[in-house]
Amino acid sequence: MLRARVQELESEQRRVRADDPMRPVSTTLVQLSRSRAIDAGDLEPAFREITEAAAATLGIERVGIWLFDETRSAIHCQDLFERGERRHSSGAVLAASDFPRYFETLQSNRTVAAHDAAADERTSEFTQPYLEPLGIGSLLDAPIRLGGTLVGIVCHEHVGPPRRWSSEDQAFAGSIADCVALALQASKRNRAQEAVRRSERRLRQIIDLVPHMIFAKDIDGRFLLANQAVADAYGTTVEALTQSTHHEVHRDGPEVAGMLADDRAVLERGQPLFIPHESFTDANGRVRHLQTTKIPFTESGTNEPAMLGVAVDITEQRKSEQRQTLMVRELDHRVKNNLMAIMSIAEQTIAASDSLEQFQDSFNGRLRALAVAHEILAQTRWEGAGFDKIVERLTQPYRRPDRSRFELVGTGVMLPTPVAPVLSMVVHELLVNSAKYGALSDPGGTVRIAWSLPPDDGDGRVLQLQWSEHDGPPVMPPTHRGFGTDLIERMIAYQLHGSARLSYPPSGARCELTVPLPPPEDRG
Amino acid sequence: MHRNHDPNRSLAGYKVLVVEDDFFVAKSLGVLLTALDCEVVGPAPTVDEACELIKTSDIDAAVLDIALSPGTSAPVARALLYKECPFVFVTGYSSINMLPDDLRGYRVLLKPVDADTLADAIDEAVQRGKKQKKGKLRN
Repeated sequence: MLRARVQELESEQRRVRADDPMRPVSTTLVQLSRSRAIDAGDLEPAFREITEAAAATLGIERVGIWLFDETRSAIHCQDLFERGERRHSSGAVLAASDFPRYFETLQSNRTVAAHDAAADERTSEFTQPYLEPLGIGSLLDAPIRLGGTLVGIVCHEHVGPPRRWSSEDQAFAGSIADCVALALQASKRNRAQEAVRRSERRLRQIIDLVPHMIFAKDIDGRFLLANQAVADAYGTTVEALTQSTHHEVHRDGPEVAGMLADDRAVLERGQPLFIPHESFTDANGRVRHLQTTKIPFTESGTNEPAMLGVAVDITEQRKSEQRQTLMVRELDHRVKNNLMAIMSIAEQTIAASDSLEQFQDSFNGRLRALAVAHEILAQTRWEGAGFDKIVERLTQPYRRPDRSRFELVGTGVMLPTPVAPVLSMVVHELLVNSAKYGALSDPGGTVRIAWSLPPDDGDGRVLQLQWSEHDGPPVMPPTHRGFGTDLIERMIAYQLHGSARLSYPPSGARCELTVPLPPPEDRG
Repeated sequence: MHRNHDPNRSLAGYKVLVVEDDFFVAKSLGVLLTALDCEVVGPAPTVDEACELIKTSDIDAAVLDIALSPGTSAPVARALLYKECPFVFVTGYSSINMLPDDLRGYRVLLKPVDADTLADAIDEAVQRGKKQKKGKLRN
């Protein structure tokens, strides 16, 4: 037996090239057991290493690794090594239904050693389509099993006249199949680990994208997890944060004490806690307002008690609520003040009216002037009104289609809220007077309104307004002071602490106003 | 408009200081007080002008708008307290949040104010002032 085997091996050896001598089985198996590709489940290089080693050790021409597809209806060649050409290829497919006896045999054997493959009934199905065209004489096939399931075959194919496979060859073929199984197992494990890593990265990416603060702390206040929003708020990185305790990173002592007390309460009671509002001083010293939910949990794996927190920044929301509250109060104040003002305007318009029609005209005009100011103020949410807009609106009914009646010279001066209605009333009275007695009573008359706001010289800003009428009828100074004139001078002095000077040169009435503008936050 | 005065409650001849920054509201308060046969002192639109009038004029009572531009009439109220001169507040606000704590106990009228309410409030403030003065004399 041994002599025959040795002779066989020697004759085999003569046929292989000098640079590829046959290697002892044990050397090959030790080499494969040290293979990094097999250990890492790096399938393509692992398979190449296995087929080359098997071919060299058995001194045969072809070694192929075939794996079943998902439906187990066919085997696909993963790697075929042809030793003579030193060539690797892959992709061939064999349908299981074409070779029923062969596949039946694989189920129950460690190896299928067909010394004379064409004559062996287990492998004779391959004669016509496979063995003859390739000149294969002998087959030594080893099923690959993973967890007891047949997943593929390693085919050792001897080209030439039939040869005998020794029992050592057969044991070696089984070991080769085990090597393939090891590589497949490692690959499967790697894929599972990669899937876990990918899932972890995806979760990390998602919690870092969430604009709310998400964090988990243990019973000592150590961060188990924190997202980017928390790191940003503390002006640090997620990595640095997860190695710190809360009181190490939070600068405001009383604040962090309150937060840690909440944490303790959550952990002690084992109940979630909703905190509708808490203040939070961030790394830039900016006070932010948070709405926070804290939920107790036990860490899986360690069973240690821990706390999950989600904090939503409600700073902007609170600001807008505060603005709204202020605005409602402001409006309440204004509505009531306006009611009294309107009562007063009515009383005084009655006193200066000769008829009901005259009262109606004057009263409606004055209310419209107030309404114009309020409408423009409402557009800016009561932050102020552009004087140019007020003038534009009030002069509208007096304009000619070509707009040539008024010369408006001035830039967009923003009137503080308390000033706008008063100046609107003043411009209205000037227009009414002009329409009755001045330039606007004549088709050729024009009115120039010029205003400016010189830079603050230290005493606050002062609006300068010049009203001058041109090309109207000859001017006669009024014989008595009407409500309009009285209103202009006294209202400017009383309410705006400014001055109004009306004069009546023959060329046209003039009015000069000087109105100090209070800073925007002042309320009337 | 002001026909139903209680004949037992006459404010005739009272000198009443008006502190109110709105021109028309000040005028309106003036009209109401004149109808009650009071003599209007002012009106004053600012704390400074009001305090000047308190120093220089003879005043029996005062009507103070709480919110002035700028500030509040609290300093005026304190000056009046010092002179033991009765006063009432008027405000457009439905709350009195702008008043400091020491001035929270005083009568606050809501705008718009009618003549009867104003007369009642001034009368009440004057009576209370008299009682306090008597109390002090007895001690």
